Amino acid sequence: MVERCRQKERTRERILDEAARALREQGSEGIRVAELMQRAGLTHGGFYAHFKSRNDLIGEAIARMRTDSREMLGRNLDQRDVAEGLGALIDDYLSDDRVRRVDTSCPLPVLGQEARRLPSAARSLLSETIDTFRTRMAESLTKLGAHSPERLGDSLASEMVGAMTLARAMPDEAKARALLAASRFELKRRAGLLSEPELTNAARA
Amino acid sequence: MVRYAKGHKDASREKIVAHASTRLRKDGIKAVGVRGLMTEAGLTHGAFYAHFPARSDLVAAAMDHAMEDTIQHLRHVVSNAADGRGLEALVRSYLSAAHCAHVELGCAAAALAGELAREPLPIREGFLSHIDEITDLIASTLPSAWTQKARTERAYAIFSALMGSLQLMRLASHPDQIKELMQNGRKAALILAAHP
Repeated sequence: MVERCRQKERTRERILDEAARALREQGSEGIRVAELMQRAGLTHGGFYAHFKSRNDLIGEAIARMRTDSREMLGRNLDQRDVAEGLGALIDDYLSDDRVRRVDTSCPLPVLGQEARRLPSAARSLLSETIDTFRTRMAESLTKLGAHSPERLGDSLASEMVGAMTLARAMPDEAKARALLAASRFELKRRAGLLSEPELTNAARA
Repeated sequence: MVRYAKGHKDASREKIVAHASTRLRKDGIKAVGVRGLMTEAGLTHGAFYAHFPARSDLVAAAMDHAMEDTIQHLRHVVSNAADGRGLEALVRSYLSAAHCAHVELGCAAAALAGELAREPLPIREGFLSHIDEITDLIASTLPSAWTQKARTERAYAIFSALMGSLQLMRLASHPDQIKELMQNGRKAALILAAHP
């Protein structure tokens, strides 16, 4: 009995993995139940043993993205010096790898255009994801003694989302990398994370 | 045989492209289907191929149209602003409740960038040249005392921030959250423009 429950849980996880990936890679249009079940190696009919509807699945997939997003913030910011943590978050969020690794990155740049096509429960979860991101940025900036940390936090978070969106639309990797490098530098400068020599070197370049 | 006035073909092509450019922004690239578009434009399915070799040509033309529409609007906003207030006017127009609500008439970059990663190279190249026009426009409003390189880089930062704020505003579901993102986004963009 316990084994059967575990088995069911694992199957559900597999469907959710596939759904979260499809949502990030193709938007809500990518959530086609028959296809997802096939990719997870399951029959179409089995779907309803795990989810009430397609909207239910989208909601659960977004809930999982919210968890991933919290973990990404925690991994970079927790148990570290504040300045070091914020720098690590900026480097991680706008790393060159993430241009292609859409499936494991923050959902916000990908879902920007999807908002109106998503069920309302999913949108509430996204709102929470946005607020967690803003709050954590503002917390770090407060500890760093920034002037109006909420406003600066919103500004940095928006720019991170916008820069990754633009980088992914660039026609070649060199352009994407240049854009990300400039954004990382600019963000750290405004967060007050750069040392005097780093700033002077950049001014000379 | 029905004889059409000269220019009829251009006019119906224009109609298809204009219609596709709003559908594209509202429902995404994948949602633009030839049959549905032609019906909505009041034309027959077969007539499509008199204007475009393939669907991808329409997508490219519609994206160009949407981006040009965006750039023209932004230029208009900047040129109608009082002296030295060009960027402020652009920022207020870009981060506004109306722009948040009307994706179909708004910035094509914010509406389409996420999807473009999955589109073929020529489409992304076209997109980049339009993005450069937007960032050139933004750069032209920045202090002339800065170097060209500094202005261009800052223009990209400002545009990223504007686009990201708009995306977050559209994803947010509470009116207060939307308003805060809008106000903070506006202030932040102007601060970016003020300090070298």
